[in-house]
Amino acid sequence: MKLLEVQNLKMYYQTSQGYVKAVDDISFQVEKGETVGLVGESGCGKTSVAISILRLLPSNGRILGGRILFKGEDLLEKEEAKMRKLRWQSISIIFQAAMNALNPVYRVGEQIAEAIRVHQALGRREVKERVRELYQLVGMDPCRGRDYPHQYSGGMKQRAIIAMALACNPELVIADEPTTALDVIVQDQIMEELSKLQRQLGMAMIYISHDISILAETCNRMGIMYAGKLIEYGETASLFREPLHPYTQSLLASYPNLKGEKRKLSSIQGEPPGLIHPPPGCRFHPRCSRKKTICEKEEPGYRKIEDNHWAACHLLS
Amino acid sequence: MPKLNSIHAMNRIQSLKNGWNLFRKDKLGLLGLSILLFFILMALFAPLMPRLNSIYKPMTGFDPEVSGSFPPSKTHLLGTDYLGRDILSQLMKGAQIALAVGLTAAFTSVLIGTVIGLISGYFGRLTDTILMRITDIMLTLPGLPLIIVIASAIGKQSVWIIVIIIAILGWPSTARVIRAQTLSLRERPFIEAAKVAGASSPRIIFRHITPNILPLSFLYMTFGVTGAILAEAGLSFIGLGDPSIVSWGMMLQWCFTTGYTFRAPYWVFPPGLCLSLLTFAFYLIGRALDEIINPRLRETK
Amino acid sequence: MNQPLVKVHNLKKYFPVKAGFSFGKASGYVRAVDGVSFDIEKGKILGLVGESGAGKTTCGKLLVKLLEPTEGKILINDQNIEGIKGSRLKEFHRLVQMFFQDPYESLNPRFTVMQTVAEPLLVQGIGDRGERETKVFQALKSVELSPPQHFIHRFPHELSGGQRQRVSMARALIVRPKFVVADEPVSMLDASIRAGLLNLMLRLREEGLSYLFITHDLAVARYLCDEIGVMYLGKMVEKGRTEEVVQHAAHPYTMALLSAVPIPDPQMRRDRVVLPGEIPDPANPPSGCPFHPRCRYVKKECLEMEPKLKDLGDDHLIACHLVK
Repeated sequence: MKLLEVQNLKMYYQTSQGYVKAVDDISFQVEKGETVGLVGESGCGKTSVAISILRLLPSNGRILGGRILFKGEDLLEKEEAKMRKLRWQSISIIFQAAMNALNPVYRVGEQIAEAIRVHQALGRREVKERVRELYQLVGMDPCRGRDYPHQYSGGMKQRAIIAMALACNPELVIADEPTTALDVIVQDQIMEELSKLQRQLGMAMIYISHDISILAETCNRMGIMYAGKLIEYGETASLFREPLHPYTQSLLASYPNLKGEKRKLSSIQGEPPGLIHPPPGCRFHPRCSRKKTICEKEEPGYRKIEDNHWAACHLLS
Repeated sequence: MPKLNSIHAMNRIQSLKNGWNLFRKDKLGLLGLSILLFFILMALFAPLMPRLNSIYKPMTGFDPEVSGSFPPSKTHLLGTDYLGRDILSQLMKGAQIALAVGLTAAFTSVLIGTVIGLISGYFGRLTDTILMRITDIMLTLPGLPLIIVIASAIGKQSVWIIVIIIAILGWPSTARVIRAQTLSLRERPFIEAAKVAGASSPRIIFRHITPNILPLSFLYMTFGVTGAILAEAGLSFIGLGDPSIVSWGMMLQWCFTTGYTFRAPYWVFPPGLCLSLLTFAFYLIGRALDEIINPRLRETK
Repeated sequence: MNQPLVKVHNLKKYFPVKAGFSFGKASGYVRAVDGVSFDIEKGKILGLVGESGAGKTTCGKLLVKLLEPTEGKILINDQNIEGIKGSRLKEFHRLVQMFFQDPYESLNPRFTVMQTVAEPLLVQGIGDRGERETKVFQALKSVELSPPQHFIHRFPHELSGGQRQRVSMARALIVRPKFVVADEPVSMLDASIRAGLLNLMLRLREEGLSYLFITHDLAVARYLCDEIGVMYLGKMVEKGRTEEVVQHAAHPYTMALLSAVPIPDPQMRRDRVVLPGEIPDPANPPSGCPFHPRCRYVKKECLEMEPKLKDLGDDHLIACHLVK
C-alpha cells in the first residue's frame, strides 16, 4: 500500500527579487515500511520537500500546486488543527542540525516527556515509562534523561532527537541530514541505529542528504534532485548500476571510493543555477557535457526505463 | 582595469547605499533624521541672527525697547529673557552648542572606547585583564555626582572641560562592547588567514578588524550623543555650566534662578522642548542604525 | 634520496585548562598534540586523518605558526621555525601557507576578491600596484577562476562556496609557497564541487607543492594523499603509504575508521565494525593505550603501557601492543 504519494508538488518562496522555485513539479511515492532517499546538492530544494510534506513552511513559502496524499488523504487540504495532530503522531521529522534543537535549560528527559505529553493523553507514570523505553530503544542509558543537553556529546544529542521523533510511534519519519555535523564513526553508529530501529518498528523513512554514499547503503529507493526538480528516481541498486541522467552519472563519478580501484574523479563544470530564474529547458543543460539544442528549449519529461526507474532527460528518447 | 583605490571607493559607496536603503524603510528613523536636520539648520543659521540686528546677539544683545522678560512679539518671536535678550536667537545658538558638545563628547568617548576595546580584545591576557579592570572601575563610578565634583573642583568653568569630563566617563560601555566583538572576530578564520599572510598585529587590528566593528562604534556614538547633551544641560542647570556660553541648559538655569519658571512658559518651554526633541532624534536614529547593523533585529520583523 | 621538506619531531601542544576560580593557574592540560613525528617530502601529500578532537587541526596550526608548540621540533626547508619573529616570520609565511576549512568564514566580508588575494603581497611588500594586480590575475587563473576580471570586484557574499574556497586558495598561493597546510578545505562543499578542488590540489602538487592534508574523510584522503597518518587523542597511531594503510590497516582504530566510511555503491558490502562509545575527553585521557576503552582486542598490557610506534616494514608504522 502506498503510504505517501507526492504528486506534482510545487513550492516557491516569495522574495523581493521574485519567486524562488525551490520545489518545481516533483512526484514520488513511499510505500509502507520503505526507505526512500532524496539526494541533491545544497540549495536544490530537498529540505523544502520535507517541510512541504509536514506543512511547516516559513512565512514566505507557498505551495502553489500538487497533492500530498498520506494514506489516501490530501495533507494540503487538511485543516491546520488536524494537521497538527498528524504531525509527530503519524509523520515526524529529524531536523538538520538537530543538536541545536534541544533547549539548553531543560533536562533532556523532560523535553522528550514534553513531546509525548503534547501529543498523547498519558498519565505521569506512563510518560515516564515511555521516556525510559525510548532511551533504551536508541541505545542510551535511561538515567541520562536527568542530564542537560550540554552534558551530552554530539552523537548522544542526535540519539535524543531520534528518540523524540519516535515518541509517538510514527508511520513515517523524515530524516533531514541526520548525521551531517557528526564524525564518521558516530555517523556510522547513528545510521546503523536508525536502520535497526526501522526494522524493529516497521516505519517508513525518507532520508534527505547531500551525500549519496550514506544513502547508498540505507535506502531501497532513491531520488536525485537538481535545482528544484526530481531528475531521476529508482531502485537504489538499479540507479547505481545504470544511472540514466547525466547529472547522476557525474555525481557518482565525483565520489572518491575507499574500496576498489582508484579512479580519477570528475567534477561538474560551473555552479548550480539560482532558482529565481532557472535556465529554460532542462535545468541542468548549462553544465551538461552532452547537451543538445532541444535541452535548451524544452523541458524533458519523465522516461521510464525499467519498472520503478525513470529519469527526465532528452538523451533517453 | 580599475585601480585598487577606486575599488575601495566603490566598496564604501555600495555599502553606504545598501545601508541607506534599509534606513529609508524605517519611518521612525527618518523622523529622527528630519528632527536632527531641523536642528542642524537652526545651528547653521544661528550666526545670521545678530547680523540682522545687534539686538539679536544671544549673549549681549539687549533690546533698548524692552527691559525684562516679555512674551512673544513681532520683534521677538519667542519673547525675551529677564535681561531683554531674544529667546529665539539664544535657542539657535543653543542648538549650535548642543550639537557641538554632543558630537565632540560622544566622538571622543567612542574613540577612546573603541581603541581600548580593540586592544583589550585582540591582545587578551594581561593587557585585557588590566584594561578591563580599569573599565569596570570606570563603569561603577557614579557618573553625575562625579561630574559635579570634578566640574566644581576645576573651578574654571569652560564648556570644553565639560566635554572632556563627559568623554572620559562615557568610554567604558563602548570599550566593553567593542572588546566582546573583537574577541569573536579574533577567532574568525579570516583573521587567522591574515596572520598566515604575515600581517602584523597593528595591520590586523586596523585593516581587518576595525572595518568590521566601526558600524558598531558609530551606533554607540549616536547613543552617546544623547547622554552627552543631557549631561551638559544638567550641569548647566545646576550652575556648573560655562557662563560665557548660551546653551539650552544655561537658558533653563537663568529662567529658574530669576524665578520665571512658572511665570514665563514662553521662556521655559522652548529650551526644554529642544533638549527633548534633539535627544529623541538621536535615539531614533540610533535605534534605526541598530536594526541595520544587527541583522538579527531585522529578521524578526 | 629526496631530502624531506618538512620534518616534525616529537611535536607536543598542551593547552592549559582552568577550572573554577583558579587564578591564572592551570588545573590540568589538554594534550591536543602529544608527541607526533613525521616527514613530508617535496611534492608529496601527507594526510592526517582522525575524528574531531584528535589533534589534527592543532597540528596544522603549529606548522603555520598560528600556535607555538609546547615541545618538539619543526624543520621546514632545513630551518628550525622555533621562535622566529618579525621579518623572518614574514619570510616564513612566503614558504608556508594554509588552506582553511570554512569558505564562508575565511574571507574578510568587507574585502573584495582583489583586496583579499592581494593582501599577502601588500603585507610582504612584494611588487608595485601593477605587478600585484598581474599576480592576482595569475593566482586567480591558477585556481581556475576565469576570467579573473569577472571576479576581482566581487565580495565574498556574492560568490558560491566553491568559488570562495578558490579565492581563499589563490590568496595562499599568490606568494608561491612550497608547503601548504590544508585544513579540511573541501569538507563543507558539495561532492561535485569537491572533486574539482581535489583535482586542482593534485595539479598543484604536480607543480611541486607539498601538503599536509587534514581530513576526517578517509575516502578523500585515499584519493589525494601519498601517505596517511591516523591520529587518535593527540597521538599518531598508524602511518604509512596510502594504499598500505587503506588495504592493510593494522591498528584496530584505523580498521574501525575505515569500516565506518560509507561506500557509494550498493553492490559492495562493507564489514562494519561499529565502534562503541566516543572519543574520550583529551583533558583526561585513558591510561596505557589511549584507544583501549573502545578496542575489541584489548589486553592487560594495553591498560598499563602506552604502545610505541613500531615499523612493520616498508615505512608502515603502528602503535599497538597486538602487533609484535
